Amino acid sequence: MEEGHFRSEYEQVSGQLYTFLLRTLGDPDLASDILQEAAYRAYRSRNQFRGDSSFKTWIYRIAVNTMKNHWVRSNRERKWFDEVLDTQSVETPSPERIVFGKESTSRLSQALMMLEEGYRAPFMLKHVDGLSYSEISQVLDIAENNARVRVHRARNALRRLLREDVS
Amino acid sequence: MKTSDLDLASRYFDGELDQAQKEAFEKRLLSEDHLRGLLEELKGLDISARELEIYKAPEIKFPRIMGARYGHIRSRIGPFLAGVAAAACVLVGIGMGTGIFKTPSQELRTEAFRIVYYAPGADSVSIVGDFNDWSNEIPLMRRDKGGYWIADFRLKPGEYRYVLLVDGEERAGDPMADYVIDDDFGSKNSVVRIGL
Repeated sequence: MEEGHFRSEYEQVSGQLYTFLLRTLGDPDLASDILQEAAYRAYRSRNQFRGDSSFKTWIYRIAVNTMKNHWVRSNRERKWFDEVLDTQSVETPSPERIVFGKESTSRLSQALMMLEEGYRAPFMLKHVDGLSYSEISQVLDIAENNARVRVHRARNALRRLLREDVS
Repeated sequence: MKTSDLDLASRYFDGELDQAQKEAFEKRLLSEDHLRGLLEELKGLDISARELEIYKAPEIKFPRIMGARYGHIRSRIGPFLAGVAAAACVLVGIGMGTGIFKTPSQELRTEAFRIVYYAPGADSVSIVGDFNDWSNEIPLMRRDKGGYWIADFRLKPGEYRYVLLVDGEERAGDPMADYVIDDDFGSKNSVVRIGL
C-alpha cells in the first residue's frame, strides 16, 4: 500500500478508531498512546496489507492487538476476549466504572461505560462503527458466534440500564 | 419477556433469520405488542449509538525507520562467529566507499544487528520486517555446513518486528528474538529491541 493511500485511508477512520479506543479504555491519555502505537504499527506493516479485509477492519484489529499487548506488558489480567463466555450475563455496574459521564450527557454514553469492556467493545463495533459480526470476530479475534452473543448481551444490558434510568 | 423472544428479535434486527423464520416473526409482530416494543427498543438503541459523538483523533506523526551510522556489533550467537562479524565490517567499509552507507556525521546513530537462524537442510532463508517496511525479502547467508544462516543490519534504536522465511515458508517465530508477538494477520511476528 502506497504511503499516500495509507494516509488517506487512515484519515478516514482515525476519528472513529480513536473514539472506539477512548470509549473502550475510558482514559484519553491511554487511548491516545494506543492509537499512536497502532498507527505506527499499521504504517510500518502497510505493505503487508493485501486487502483481504477492509482497511478499517485491519487497523481496528491492530489497535485491539496493541491494547492486548499493553495489558500483557502492564500485567493486567483481562479475559474479555476469551473464547469461553462467562456464564453470567453482564456484571452489575458500579459507580466507579462511570468514567465518561463528565464528558457526555448522553444516557447511552454513560450506560455504555457501565458495561464490561468485553461487552462494550463488541457493541460499539457493531452499532457505532458499523462492522458486521464477521468483521467483529476478526477485529477481536473471537469466534463469530461469540461476537454475536456478546453484542446481544450488551444490547440487553443496555436496555435494562436505560429502563432503570428512566424509572 | 421470554429470552427466546429477545434472541429472535435480535436476530431479526440483524437480518439473520431465514425467510421462513422472518415471515413467522413478522406474523407475530402483528399481534404481539411486546415484540413490537422490543424491536423498537433495539432500533432506538442502534440509532442512539450511531449518534454518539465521534472525537477527533490526535495527530499522528508517522516515523521514518532506516538510517546508518556505526555503533557496536550486537552478536546474537557469540564469539564463534566473530570472523563473520569482521567480514561484515569489511562489507560495511566497502559500502561506505561506494556511498551505499552514509558517514556517521550524516545520519543519526544506528546499531548493528545480526540475525542468526538455524535451519539445516534449508535451501534458502530470508527475512522481512518493518525495518524495510515489509517490502522485500532479504536473504540470509549460509554460515557453513552446520546449518546456521546470518544477515547483518544497521538499525536505529527501536523495536522491530520481523518474520523469517525458510524455503519461502514463514516460520512461527525466531527463538533468538527478544519476544514473539501476535501479528495482525493471525500469525506471529518476532520482535527485537535495538539499543533500548
